[in-house]
Amino acid sequence: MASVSLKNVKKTYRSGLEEVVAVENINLDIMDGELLVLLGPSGCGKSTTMRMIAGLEKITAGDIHINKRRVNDLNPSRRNIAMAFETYALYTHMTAAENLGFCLRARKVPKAEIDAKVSKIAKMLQLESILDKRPSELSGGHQQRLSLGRALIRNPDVFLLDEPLSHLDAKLRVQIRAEIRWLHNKLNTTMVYVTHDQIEALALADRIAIMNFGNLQQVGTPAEVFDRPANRYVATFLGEPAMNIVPGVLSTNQGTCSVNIIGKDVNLSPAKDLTSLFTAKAPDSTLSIGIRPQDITLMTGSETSADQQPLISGIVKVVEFIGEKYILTTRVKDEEIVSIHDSINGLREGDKAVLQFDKRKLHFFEDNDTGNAIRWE
Amino acid sequence: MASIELKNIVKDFGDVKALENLNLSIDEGEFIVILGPSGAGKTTTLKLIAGIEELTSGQLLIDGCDAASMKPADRDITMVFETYALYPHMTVWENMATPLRGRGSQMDPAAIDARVQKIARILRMEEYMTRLPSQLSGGQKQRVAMGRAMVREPKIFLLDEPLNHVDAKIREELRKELHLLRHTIKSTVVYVTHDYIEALSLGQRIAIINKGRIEQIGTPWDVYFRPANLFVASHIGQPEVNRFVGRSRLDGSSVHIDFPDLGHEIVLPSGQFPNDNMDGQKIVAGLRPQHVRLSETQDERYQLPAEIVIRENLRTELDLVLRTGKVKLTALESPEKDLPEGQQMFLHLPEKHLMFFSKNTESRIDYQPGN
Repeated sequence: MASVSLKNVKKTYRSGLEEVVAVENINLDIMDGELLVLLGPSGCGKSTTMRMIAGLEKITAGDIHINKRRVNDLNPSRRNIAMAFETYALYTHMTAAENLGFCLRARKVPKAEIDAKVSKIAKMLQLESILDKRPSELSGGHQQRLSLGRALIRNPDVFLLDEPLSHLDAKLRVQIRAEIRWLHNKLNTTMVYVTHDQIEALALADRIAIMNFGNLQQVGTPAEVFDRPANRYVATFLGEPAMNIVPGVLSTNQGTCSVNIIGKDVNLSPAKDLTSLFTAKAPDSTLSIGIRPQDITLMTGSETSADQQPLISGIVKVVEFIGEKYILTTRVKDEEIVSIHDSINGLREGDKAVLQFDKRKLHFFEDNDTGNAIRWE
Repeated sequence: MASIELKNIVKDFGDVKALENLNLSIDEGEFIVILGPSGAGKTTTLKLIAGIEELTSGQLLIDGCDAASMKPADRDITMVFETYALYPHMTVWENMATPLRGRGSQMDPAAIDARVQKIARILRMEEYMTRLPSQLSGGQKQRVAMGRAMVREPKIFLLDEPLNHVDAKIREELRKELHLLRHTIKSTVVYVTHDYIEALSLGQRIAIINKGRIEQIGTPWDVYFRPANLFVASHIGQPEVNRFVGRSRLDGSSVHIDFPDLGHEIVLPSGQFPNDNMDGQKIVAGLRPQHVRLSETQDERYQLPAEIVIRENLRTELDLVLRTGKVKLTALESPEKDLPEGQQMFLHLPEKHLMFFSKNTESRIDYQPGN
């Protein structure tokens, strides 16, 4: 077990005459025993970051410490790190047991000790019944578990996993995901897990580090990054369907604070921390407003708005039935609002829909390129 | 628009049977989705329709005419593949206009431009018409590929997993565009995917295919709520449908179904099974995770004790795996109820949401629950 710390770590490549920044000045402290997920789209620098921790990529600037030891110049083999890849490179000519024990044999560990360790790991990963089989005779799930087992048997300080589930089908992915989580709870090994799949990140992580364009966007628990995203990028990357982002205009009128959202004045006055927002911003400043599709209720028409929650109405453009739920895309003025509902009372494309959103669950972002979140309570 | 009829289609690749006696008739102007796992025969079906592959036996009718006598070029079909092949040296406009500017084209430039602009508007690519493919995102490139296929407005439009290689956000967006397309293009559309959400969202009807055979053809509502067999039930919906193996017996006008692994018996009026003799049948009951009900206290309805073994809070839903008796089952709860692992719960399996299948044939048993 070990902590991992990245201080001002930077990675640039030379591509022809140009210098390309893969990872920009990253600062990240991974705690001892933590399962940290590096999440982001392809090309965001998450795999590069992991490979720098492993020592497979040289860092351009900064410091990496593992267990408080500076490892910048240490070979991968001397960092006591294990890595499992997207494709599990198992030795096809060896049985499962031989695969598990391979690296211990290579280190000349006594046979009795190897056998004991192999059977312990096999028991933990429920591989006992297939120890005599070769990889080609195993299911995808067993192969993946075997690959995890082979990495874990060395008792590494840090366990790195690079998209280990992306080649598995949906059903197996869910199963192995739960097993990785279970394994982590049991071993308490520090794990760094790279993925582009936000669901995987939310399901697995103690904390998530979200990256984009080589920059760290936010680090936090799944609840923090989902409920209090640091910026518009994080807000729209997490959650499916994606968070709606619509323009809003601040207005202060006789001491009340309100925001105009797609032509609708929404009074936010009881909110405590809004004062800061309204003092920092001139009246009539524009903001980006975020509304999660799950936080929108479809009104059937007969009821009145509860708790004076704002209503907006528009014309339904798309109705998508996706099984238990329906996704509605509603045109409100020039904006399209996506919402998700258990039932839609026979609503069809072209009909008028009245949507109610929960103003306590609105998200506010700066109306600029970075789109930093504006906090309020 | 054209109708397509596949009759007793067999397709072999050497010793491998890709399609076994496939029957499917597609109406003029219909948007049909072929859904199935990889290797099911989906793409082969598309290629047969397009004339890229020849069928081993059976008959393919396009607008009632035997396609065997038609050359691929005469079928008036366009196909969009999973990977988009755009001309890198041409702008978006030029890429989209190529099918209209080919040799022998009778269209005048103004008409071509009008057509390209119309499709660009539908696909929201108007602002990008002068860009080169290298200046576009993956989603935009896929739009151009679709646009190029659409400018001709073919009789038949074949799409092979067009959203497979784009990331989740773009997929969501393009799915919506495709949805709108259903109203704007007149072509008959055959759309292949392995993603059940795409199928439910887009298909007027869905044909579920497995190992070269059709398992069910029906509306999205049908295949989701009245799956023809266990394969369809478990292929549509995530997390997968829960299954419980049981045995039924008839007692007067009641059907008793005992689930030994669950330690549970349910009793239903025999009238709710109008077409089957429910005496001494081996049964698989299915219940979707969304319909498993949980309570922290035991009562008449919530009888079955169960322990939470896995809990995943996905923020928009709470996915739970529970162990009860010898069975593990999945349940979905609202994320606000942050129930911990190890917690003891009591289950209610609502009768009206149960589905029943024969254990031997895996086919659906007609069940009409009361209200």
